[in-house]
Amino acid sequence: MAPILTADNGNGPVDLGPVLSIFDPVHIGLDEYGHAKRVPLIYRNMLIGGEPGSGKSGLLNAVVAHAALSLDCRLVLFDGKRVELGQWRRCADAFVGPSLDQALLVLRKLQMMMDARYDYLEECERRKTIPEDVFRAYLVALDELAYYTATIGKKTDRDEFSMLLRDLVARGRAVGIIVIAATQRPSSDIIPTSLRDLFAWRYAGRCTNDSSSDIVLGHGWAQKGWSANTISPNNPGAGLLISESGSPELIKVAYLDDRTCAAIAAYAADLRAVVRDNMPTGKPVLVAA
Amino acid sequence: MASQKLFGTTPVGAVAVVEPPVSQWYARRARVAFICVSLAAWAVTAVVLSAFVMPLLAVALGLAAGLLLGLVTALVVRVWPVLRALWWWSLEITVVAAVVAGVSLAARVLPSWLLVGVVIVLVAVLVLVGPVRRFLSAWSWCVVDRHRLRLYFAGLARSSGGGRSGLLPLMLWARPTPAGERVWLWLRPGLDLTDLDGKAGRIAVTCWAKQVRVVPASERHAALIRVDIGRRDSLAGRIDSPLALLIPALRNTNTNADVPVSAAVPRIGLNLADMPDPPAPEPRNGRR
Repeated sequence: MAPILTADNGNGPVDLGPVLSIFDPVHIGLDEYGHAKRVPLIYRNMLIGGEPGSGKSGLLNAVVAHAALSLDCRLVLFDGKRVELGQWRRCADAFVGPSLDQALLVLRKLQMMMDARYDYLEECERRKTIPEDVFRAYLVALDELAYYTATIGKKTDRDEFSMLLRDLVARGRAVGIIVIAATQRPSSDIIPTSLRDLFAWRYAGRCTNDSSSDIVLGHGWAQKGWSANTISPNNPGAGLLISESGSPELIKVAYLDDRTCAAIAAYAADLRAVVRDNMPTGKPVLVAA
Repeated sequence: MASQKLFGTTPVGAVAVVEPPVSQWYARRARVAFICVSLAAWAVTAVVLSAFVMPLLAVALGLAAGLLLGLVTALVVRVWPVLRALWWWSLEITVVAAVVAGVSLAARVLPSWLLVGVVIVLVAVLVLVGPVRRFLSAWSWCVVDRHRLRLYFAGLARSSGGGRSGLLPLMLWARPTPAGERVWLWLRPGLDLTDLDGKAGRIAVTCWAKQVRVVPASERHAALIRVDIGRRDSLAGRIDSPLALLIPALRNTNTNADVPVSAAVPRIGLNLADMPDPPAPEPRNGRR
């Protein structure tokens, strides 16, 4: 059920209407037959790969925009470049720039929160979060994942980052933690294979060769004719997506330009500023003026 | 070699509606149907009638009924390929019949100059009005696809040694998509999705399309498949996110002129020439 904005005017709640929900399928673009492509993200994670300029950040922004407008979802953003996800900073609970120490701190806190949520679910004798739950989902978006796992800091810290992220991807889905990670080539020297293989949804923008495409989509797809190497370099945003059907689909990501991104981010930030958690029901309510 | 004729034995002008092997197969099937249906109908009718008339008369009447029913069944089976061909082309036959009937009916009530004018206006509307033309074109391709797919599967059945059209899948429904058409098929026993692996290119050639994808269309039935036929590249242009329509500030204007700029951060250091030289790294252990 989509969350309901409720104005609390002192005489009881007043329903204002539905807004987006992270439990709704997220519109990410069009499939090759011109139909809207929507993917359910709750209880799932997504890995985004592809060469520079292939539309990775476009897809990441499309997903983050939906999550930002979903009042039942909180945002945690990691961006080594700071500008790809920087416009969503005001909507996010935490925004991590090019600092591995800060990234580790946030991941450790997320891990603790995940454990606390599992304690809660265990107490309630439930197995996963639901739309009407008392806690909200978290979208953890990471742009340039390789920056944190293979580029900056000490090796021990980078390994700890990979280990914490692996834990979030592996255990977080049932308590509403959705991890979306984007990197150029998620090979084993960038991401541990044990982490890479946990992502259910995979998107491969244009890749420079068949092996890079297979690294994102999974081994063997290039041999079956599904290689992101065949995508035209003049068509950024086009890529192969593995989602519900289990086999790749050619899609094109919906593009959000800077102005649109900024407007959506500002609107989402304003919306988030005037709502607060209604603790008894878990639904967000407008703050009384 | 000398006994071979240049153009074969087929008379000039003869067109085979049903190919000879298929025709022979249905002739055999008609004989079998005649025997089975006649015997079954004879037995059932004789047993039922024996409750009302003398047994010998019941047997005689049952024999007559069985022969009649068997004959009708055999006739239907024998001409089934022709009936099926008529069914395949029923839409076209209906449309042509409706157009001819409409024009001839109009010719009786309208003067000839007015009839010609009405026909010209109708044709002009169908050809010149964009939405009407695109609608007709899109649905016409759906009709064409059904025939072309049938042609492909008939060839596939022949090449697999079947030699008959019994393996032809049922064409369930076809509808246009922004990039082409989408057709749902129900596969008959003897054919499955793996038989179509790697054949998408040939299907595309048969359907005069750019590309074709064949995918399962049901979680429960392996026989139900979907053929997506692509004629246009729907992914060439930019695709806007529908989220922008939710934002009041973005609904009315659609210009990129007001890209966000920062007034707070001084515009220094945005070019390479503005940057000072970084200090040289200190040598470690005498080595670089």
